[in-house]
Amino acid sequence: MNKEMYLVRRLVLIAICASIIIVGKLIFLSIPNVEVVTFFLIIFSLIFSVKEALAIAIIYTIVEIYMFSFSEQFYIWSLIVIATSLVKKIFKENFQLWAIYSGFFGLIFGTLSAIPFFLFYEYFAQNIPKETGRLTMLAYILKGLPFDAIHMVGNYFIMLLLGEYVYKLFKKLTKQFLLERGD
Amino acid sequence: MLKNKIIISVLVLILAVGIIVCYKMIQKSQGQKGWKEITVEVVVGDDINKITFKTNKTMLGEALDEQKLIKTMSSVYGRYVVGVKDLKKNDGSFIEADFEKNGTFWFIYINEAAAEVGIDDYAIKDGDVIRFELQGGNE
Repeated sequence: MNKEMYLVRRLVLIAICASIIIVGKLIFLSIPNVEVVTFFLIIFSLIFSVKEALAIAIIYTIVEIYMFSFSEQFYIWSLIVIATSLVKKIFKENFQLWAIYSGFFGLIFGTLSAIPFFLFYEYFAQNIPKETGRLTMLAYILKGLPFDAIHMVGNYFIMLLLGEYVYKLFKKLTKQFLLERGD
Repeated sequence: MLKNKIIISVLVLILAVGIIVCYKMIQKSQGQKGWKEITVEVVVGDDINKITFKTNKTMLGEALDEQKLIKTMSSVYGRYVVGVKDLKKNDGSFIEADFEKNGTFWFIYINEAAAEVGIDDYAIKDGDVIRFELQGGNE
């Protein structure tokens, strides 16, 4: 297979992976704070390079904004990819650790979502008291704590129960797809 | 390996339950004890009707239930209001919203600001004004 075909196949894989995340998001939409986006982003970050995994995260973010409107969570998916790429050499294929890592992101999800509020009020909103940003951020975090707890449990158990199996499956399928001879 | 997985899983569950329990306890402790006077306004179009009453309940949902002012349904997010007592007729009937049928829903304001939590998560304070406004509706 020539280099161009190989690159095209990688591009197709990125698109397919983003689609998988979108479908996963839609399936769990009715269950609050249970999502597989974090799960798949971690898995794809383990299999692909940082650039490719970021491309998947960005495509997903764009589609999410299109489908559900812009939200304060827009940057979190890319952050998960970058953080995963940084720790994957330490955790390697230990899915107990990845489950804790995924649960941790679930727990701090509310805090990460609150940061844009703080930044907006602190630096962009005019004629608003300085402490509004900090108070808004704090109120947002505290109100969301029970949901973050549920998010943590959901993320942890999804990764613990499915992580290793899905990772090995995707790794095998990716390798097959990339090395398959085209006609 | 399996033993470690089980231990960590149990710890995660304990942590989650601990966070939820602490949150509920802090919320309840922020509620004022004793009797409080609150006003409930029901707004349907230009029609505004009010009722003021005293309650010693801590959370808004309990206080409204006590006065039989609301009809609710349960969801994964908690209880939500589907009917509010018709204060104009005052015959015990309810003004019901049906989002799926006609696109209407009850919007709740607490002291002129949109409610940020459900009725069972708001700890009432003396002097609170709770407004139920019927919104939406297919044209």
